[in-house]
Amino acid sequence: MSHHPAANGIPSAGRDAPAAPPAWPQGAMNEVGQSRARVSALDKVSGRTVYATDVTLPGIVHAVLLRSTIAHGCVTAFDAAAARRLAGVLAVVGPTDLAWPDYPPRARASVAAEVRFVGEEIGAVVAESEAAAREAARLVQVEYELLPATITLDDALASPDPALAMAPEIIERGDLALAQASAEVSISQRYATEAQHHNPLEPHGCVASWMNEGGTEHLTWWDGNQGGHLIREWGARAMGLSIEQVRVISPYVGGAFGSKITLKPYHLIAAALARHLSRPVRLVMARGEEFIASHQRAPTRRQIKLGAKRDGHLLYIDEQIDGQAGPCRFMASNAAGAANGLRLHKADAVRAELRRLLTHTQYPTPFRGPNIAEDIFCLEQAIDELAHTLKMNPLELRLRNLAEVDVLEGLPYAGKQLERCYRLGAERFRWRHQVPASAQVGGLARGIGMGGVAYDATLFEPSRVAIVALPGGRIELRVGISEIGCGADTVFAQIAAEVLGISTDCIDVVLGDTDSTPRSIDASNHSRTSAVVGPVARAAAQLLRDAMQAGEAVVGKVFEAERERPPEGVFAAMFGAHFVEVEVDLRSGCLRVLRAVCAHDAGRVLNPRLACGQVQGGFLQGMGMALHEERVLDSRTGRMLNAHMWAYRTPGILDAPAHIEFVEAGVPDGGNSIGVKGLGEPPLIAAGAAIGNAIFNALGVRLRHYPITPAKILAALSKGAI
Amino acid sequence: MTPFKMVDAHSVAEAVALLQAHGPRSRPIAAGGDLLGLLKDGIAGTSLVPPQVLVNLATAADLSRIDREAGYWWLGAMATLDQLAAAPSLPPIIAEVVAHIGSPQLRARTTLAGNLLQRPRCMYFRHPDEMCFKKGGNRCPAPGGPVQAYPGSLLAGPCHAGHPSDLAPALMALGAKAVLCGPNGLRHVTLSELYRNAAHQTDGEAALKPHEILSSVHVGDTFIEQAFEKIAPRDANEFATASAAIVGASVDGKWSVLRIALGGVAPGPLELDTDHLIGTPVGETDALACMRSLLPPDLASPMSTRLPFALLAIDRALARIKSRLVI
Repeated sequence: MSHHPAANGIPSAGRDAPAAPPAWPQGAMNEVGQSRARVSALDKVSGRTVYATDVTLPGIVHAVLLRSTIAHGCVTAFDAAAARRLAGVLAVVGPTDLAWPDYPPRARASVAAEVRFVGEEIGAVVAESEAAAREAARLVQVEYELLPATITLDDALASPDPALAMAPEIIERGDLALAQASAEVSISQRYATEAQHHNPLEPHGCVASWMNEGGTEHLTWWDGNQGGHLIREWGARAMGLSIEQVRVISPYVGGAFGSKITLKPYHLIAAALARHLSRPVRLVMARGEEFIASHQRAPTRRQIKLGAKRDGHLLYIDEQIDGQAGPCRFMASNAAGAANGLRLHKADAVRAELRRLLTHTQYPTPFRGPNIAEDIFCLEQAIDELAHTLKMNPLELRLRNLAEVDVLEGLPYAGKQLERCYRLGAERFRWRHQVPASAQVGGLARGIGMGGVAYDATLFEPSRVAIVALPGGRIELRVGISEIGCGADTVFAQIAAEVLGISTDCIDVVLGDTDSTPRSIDASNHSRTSAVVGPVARAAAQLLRDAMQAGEAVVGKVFEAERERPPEGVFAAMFGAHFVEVEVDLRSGCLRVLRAVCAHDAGRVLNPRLACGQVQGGFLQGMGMALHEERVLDSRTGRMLNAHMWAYRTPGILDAPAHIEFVEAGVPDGGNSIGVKGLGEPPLIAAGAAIGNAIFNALGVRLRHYPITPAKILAALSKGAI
Repeated sequence: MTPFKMVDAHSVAEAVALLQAHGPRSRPIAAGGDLLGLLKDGIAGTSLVPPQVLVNLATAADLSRIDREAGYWWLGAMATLDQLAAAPSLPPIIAEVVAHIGSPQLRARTTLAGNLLQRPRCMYFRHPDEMCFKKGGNRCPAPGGPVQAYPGSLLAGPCHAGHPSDLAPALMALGAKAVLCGPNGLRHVTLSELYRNAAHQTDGEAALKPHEILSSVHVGDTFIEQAFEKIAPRDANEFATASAAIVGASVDGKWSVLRIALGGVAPGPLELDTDHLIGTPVGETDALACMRSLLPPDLASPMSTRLPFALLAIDRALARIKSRLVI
C-alpha cells in the first residue's frame, strides 16, 4: 500500500470526526459541476503571478549549491580560495565549514563530505548576485576519495551488494498454486521502465529569512511546494524550532508533479546560510540541477506472469518487480509497487514480490502515479498479450474480469464505474477488434490500443478549512495547501459558493501561507486534494450559512470546519480507461499518437473545464514517459548525460495528438459527501500501456522496454520478434 | 558564467580589428543562441577557454544583408533564419530547411553564421564535468558509454559527434561558398573545404583562422531540383538524427548534376562523393548507391544507430527529386 510521509505520526480521521452531511444530488449544480475559468489563469499568462523565488527582500543574497561530481566517496579537500576572491562573494562553505542541519530522511547532514550520488550536496556559495555565486561555484576545487559505486539497476541486479540489500516485500492474496494449476493459457514476459524526471517549469527553490521578535527567532520560507504545512513541520523539527517559529509561504507553484511534497536539503541549507550571514537567502536551482538533485521516477524491471481459462477468466497475476531505490531507504518505497495493478482486474490469486535495490544514484521521489504508472504501463501490456494469446478482443477480456470487491482490502468499492469507462470510452473511440499489423499502407502502420487504471483514494488525514465573511461583502475561504496548478483556487470557491447560494466570483480562496490558513492537508498529492479538503470546504461554508440564517453577526468571524467522518466498510478508488490510435513510420520508427479518448471515473467532476485540462496534461506526460523520456546515466561515472532540455526529450505541442478527448464516466462516489474522488494522476497512468498496445497492434511486434523510441522500434522490426 | 566584456562592432572590418586588438581571449558573438548556452553551462576546456571579450556582430549592419549580386545570392552572416526563409527567390531548399530548425522564437533571433558554426550537440561535449577531445582532452569518451549517449558519427575518428546544423548540408549541396574576412583580407572557400577537418579540429568544426569572421555565404542562382529531409524523434526543438540535402538535374534520364550532403552523422556536414553516379540512370539510383563511397571499411562506428536514418533521409529526398525529373 501507499508508503507516504503523511502517515508519519499523524492520526487518520477517526470515529470522533463530525458525521457527514447528506450527499449532494447527482449532476451539475448551480456552481459545482460548472466549467468556471481558473481564478489565477489571467495572472499566470500575463506574468503577474508571483512565485516564491520572485520574492525580493532588503539585503537579499543569492546561494548556489555545490554538488558532488562523483557517485560514491568522500570529499577530502575543499579549496575555496579562488572562489572567495571573486567580487561579490560573501561565503563559500564546504562540508566542515558550518554546523549543517541534519536531513534525517537521507541519514546525512544537509551538506556533508560523504557522497552517495552525483549531485549530492557538498557545500554552497553565497554572493550578492546569482551570477557571481554561479561563477564562484565553478572556481571551487574539490578532491575526493573514490569508493566503488553501483550505478545502474542492471549492475545492482547482477552483483547485489549485501550492504545495500533490502528485504523484499511480498503482497499475496488467494491461492496462487491452485490458480496456476488450473490455468489453460499463461504468459510470462519481462518489462522495463526508465527514470522519468518531473522537470517542472519552475525549478525548486526558496527564499529563507530570519527575524528576531521579542527574543524569539522566526524563520520564514517562501517556497514553491505542494503544501506548506508539511514543510513547516519537518523544517521546524530539522532546525530545532517550534512549529510556531516557522512560517512557509507558497504563493503559487509552477509545477511540481510530486517532487515538491517534502522538506528537501535545499530548504535547510538556505535557512542555515541565512542564519550564518544574517541576511535573507534566495536559493534557486538551475535547470541542470533539476535533473540531478533527486527528483525522478525510479527505473524498474519486472517479470509478469498471467494465467487464464480459455474463456478469458483471469486466474492469477504474479509479478516480480525490481526498482532502483538510490542510496538510502527513505524513499525506497517509491522504487517499486504493485497494489493498484493487482486491484485493476478480478483474479483468483495475485502475488507481487517487490525488491528495492540500493544504488549510488539519486533516490526516487513520488511522481504523478508513483510506482503505479510504471506498474500499470507494464501490467496492461501483459493483459493485452494475454488477450492476443487468447485471440480475444482486449476490451472483452477486461469486461470479463471486472472486480466487485477490492482484492487487497476485501471490501466492496465505495463506487466503481470502470465498466462504464470501458463502454463509454470504446463507444466514443469507435473501438473494434483489429488484427495486429493489419493496417499498413505506404510504409505507415496504424494501430489501436487500450489500457485501464485503478488508483486507491485512501490517503486521508484530519483536515481543517476556515471561512470568514469580509466587511465588503466578499467571502474568504482559507485553505492550508498550495495551488499546484490543478485549480484548487477555483474548485474550493465553487464548493463554498454552492453552499452559500452565491456566485463563485464572490469568493476569494486564500492558499499557501501557513500563518493565515489552517492545516487542510499535509501536501497536495495522491489525487486527493478535492476529495479530502472539498468536503471540509463544504462544511465550513455550511457553518457560515447556518450562522447567517440564525441571524448572527458573522462579518469578520472565522468559522472553521473539520473533516467529516469517512464511510466504513467500503474502499474508495478511481478508475479509468484510455483508447489511442497511433501511426508508426515503418522506416524511421517515428510515431505519432493520432487521437486519444480518455474515460475516467473521478466521482463527481467539480469543474469540467479544469478536469479536461488535467486529463490532457496527464495524458501528454504519460505519452512522454512511454515514448521519449529517460535518464541516460554513464555507468562508469554515475553522471547523468542528458541533464538538458534538448537531450531529455519531453513531448512538444507538435507531438501532441490532434484530439485528447475526456469522457466523464463517473457518478458521485460514496466515499465522501460531495461525491468527489480524484483525477490528478490516473490520466498519466493509463496512457502508457494504451500507447504500447497500439504500437503492438500497428506492428505485430511487442516492445516491452519503455520509452519506445524510434531506434527500439527499428531494432524490433528488424528482428521481427513478437 | 565567467564575466565578459562586450564590445560592439559596426562593420566587418571593425569586428576583425577588435578581435585582433583583444587577442586570443576574444570571440565574436552573433545572436548567442549557442555560445551563451555553453558559457552558462560552464562548458570549457583547454581548447574551449571562456572568452573575456565578446565582439558583438549584431551592431554591424552590413552583416545582415541579403542581396543578389552578379549571378549569386549574398547571404549576410547575421541574417536571421526568419529573414532567410522570407527572402523571395532564394533557392527553395533554404526556406524548407529553416522550417525544420528549433522553434519560432529561435528562428526569429538566431543567424545564418550562428547556425553554421554551432558546436556539437553531444552529451559529453555539453557535460561540464566530462572532458572530451573537442574540449582539449585526449580522447572521446562516447564509445565506452551508453548507446543512447552515442553522439552519432558514422565515421571512425577522434570525435564522434554528429554535426547539428540543418542549414550546413543544404548550403553544401547547393555548392555554396563561405566568405571569410580576416586581417589579411577576404577568402572564399566551399563549405566542403570549410568543414574538411571538422573531426580533428578542436577550436571549432569550421576552418577559420585566428581573428577570421564568417561574413557571408554566396549561393548560386540555382534552378535545379532540390530537397531536404530530416529524421528526428520530435517535430520541433530537435537536432537531426540524420538529415540529407540533395540537389540534382538530369539529361535524358541520366544524372547531370547530383550533390548530396548529410547532417547529423559526422563531426561536420558530410558531402557524399557522387561522381560514380553522374551519367547513370536516375531511376536506378538508391540510397545505398549514394553512400557507396562511405560504406565499410570507412564506417567504423558500430555504436552508431544512425546509418538507417541517414539512408532513409537520402531515400526520401531522392524520391522527391526523382518525382520531379523527367526520367
